[in-house]
Amino acid sequence: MANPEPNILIIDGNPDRAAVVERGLVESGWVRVSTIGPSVNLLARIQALAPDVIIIDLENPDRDTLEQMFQVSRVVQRPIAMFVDQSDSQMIHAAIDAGVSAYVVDGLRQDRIKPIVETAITRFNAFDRLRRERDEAQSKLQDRKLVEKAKGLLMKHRGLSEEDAYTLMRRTAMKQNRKLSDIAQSVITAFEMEI
Amino acid sequence: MANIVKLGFAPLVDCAIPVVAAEKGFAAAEGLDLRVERAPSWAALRDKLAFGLVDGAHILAPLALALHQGIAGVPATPLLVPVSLGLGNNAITLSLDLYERMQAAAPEVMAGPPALRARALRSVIDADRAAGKPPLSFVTVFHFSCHHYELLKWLADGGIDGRSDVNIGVIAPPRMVESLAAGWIDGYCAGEPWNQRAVQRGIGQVVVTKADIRPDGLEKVLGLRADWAEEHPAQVAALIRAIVKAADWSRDPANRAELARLLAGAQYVGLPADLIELTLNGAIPAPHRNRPDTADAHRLLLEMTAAEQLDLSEAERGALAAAVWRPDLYDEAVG
Repeated sequence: MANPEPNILIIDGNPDRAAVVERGLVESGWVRVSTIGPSVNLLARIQALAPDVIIIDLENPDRDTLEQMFQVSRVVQRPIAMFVDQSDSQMIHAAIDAGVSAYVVDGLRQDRIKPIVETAITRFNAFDRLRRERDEAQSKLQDRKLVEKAKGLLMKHRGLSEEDAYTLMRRTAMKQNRKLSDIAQSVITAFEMEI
Repeated sequence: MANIVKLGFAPLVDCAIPVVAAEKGFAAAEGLDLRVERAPSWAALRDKLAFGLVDGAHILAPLALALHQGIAGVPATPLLVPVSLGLGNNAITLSLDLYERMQAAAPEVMAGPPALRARALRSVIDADRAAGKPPLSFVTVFHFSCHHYELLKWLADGGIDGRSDVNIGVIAPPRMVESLAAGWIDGYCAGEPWNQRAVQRGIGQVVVTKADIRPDGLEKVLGLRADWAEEHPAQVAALIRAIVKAADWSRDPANRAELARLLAGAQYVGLPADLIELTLNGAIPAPHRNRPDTADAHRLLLEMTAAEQLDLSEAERGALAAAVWRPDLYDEAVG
């Protein structure tokens, strides 16, 4: 190979995640990393970048376009294959679970690719965990706002103390086996309909 | 319930039958906890199947054969096809520019049967070649797909060699219309609603439909992992029965609107229900076409050979078809 450093291309519909993966790879010592988003002329762009390794998210419908490169075609000079380390099916499961897939130029040594794919898997998982945590935090904040608003309505229109208003909603939630925020939403809807 | 069966599907209208089996209680009535998982691309579906993340899948019929044979880009994965799911309603859409050039080049051909209209395309290609222009580009949904073979056949019937006279690539159907609009491609072969969408937007023209190229040609099947099927014979039989009942329900015109609403859900096809309802015609095969017919596998293997994807002797093709297509399992379960 002319250059010992593999040229890595990240294709991801989510630019934030692509940035996280790119940073992970660069920090681990791979310096030739580029990223592209969804594109109508994907193959031409890949050809121009001539990557040795392609990291692509599993949700990306462009994967079917990439698959074309399995076939030795006139369009792509360097045949590409999906990275499948037959000795390590656990890694493939980990990759699919993380939502990432890798393609490599045919003939590239598996032991050189493996740490790259492992880094991508780790970064995909970390990104998903962060996103989940952020979503959960947002939804908790939202729930708390609903409960506060419902409590205020009960206090104002039913003359309940703050504690009684809270206890009433809490008890109803337990009785109906529903979330406190659902009950709060019902209270708000009920008052909105009265008005 | 312990009888969990996981099936992958692609978000297309003909995923209807397994979705209905799961959603309308036909699988539960057979004692199965059927879970269907959406895959965004054929490659993703193939991976889930090949690496055992699902037990089976709604899959392109030629992809099932390719996966079994080990030519689909992942290690060979023995599969069984115990029931057929769809015949497809594909068409070939061309850019307005190309369609008009064909009209101008050979109006008498364009007025004739659609199956032979590629003869007009032949004239356009000859003119381009004489003028030193680059070859035209077409795309299909996947290289192991009936769409690919239908495009090749239509071109061949017009005297065009799909391997050397034009470029043929792959683009996911949701990107096809924009690619045509951008002039990146000159035409495509895809299922509905992707042809109607280009026509509605005034970007393309349907030049021929599958009914003219390959009427009654099988397109989608249920592919099961052979190792899973061998360990779970009772579940396989129950699944076939649930699928057949779901097909009966889906075929009933009285259920058409409800089916369209069900498939419109974001977890299934994720397109407007009225559009889905329009394209449901022909998506559900006639009852006798649910039974796997080995003749379909033989025909597909010949098409794969013609497309230079497969190089097997006639005896080897016969053995491959008999190993994957399993009407005996269908008969045992339903008979």
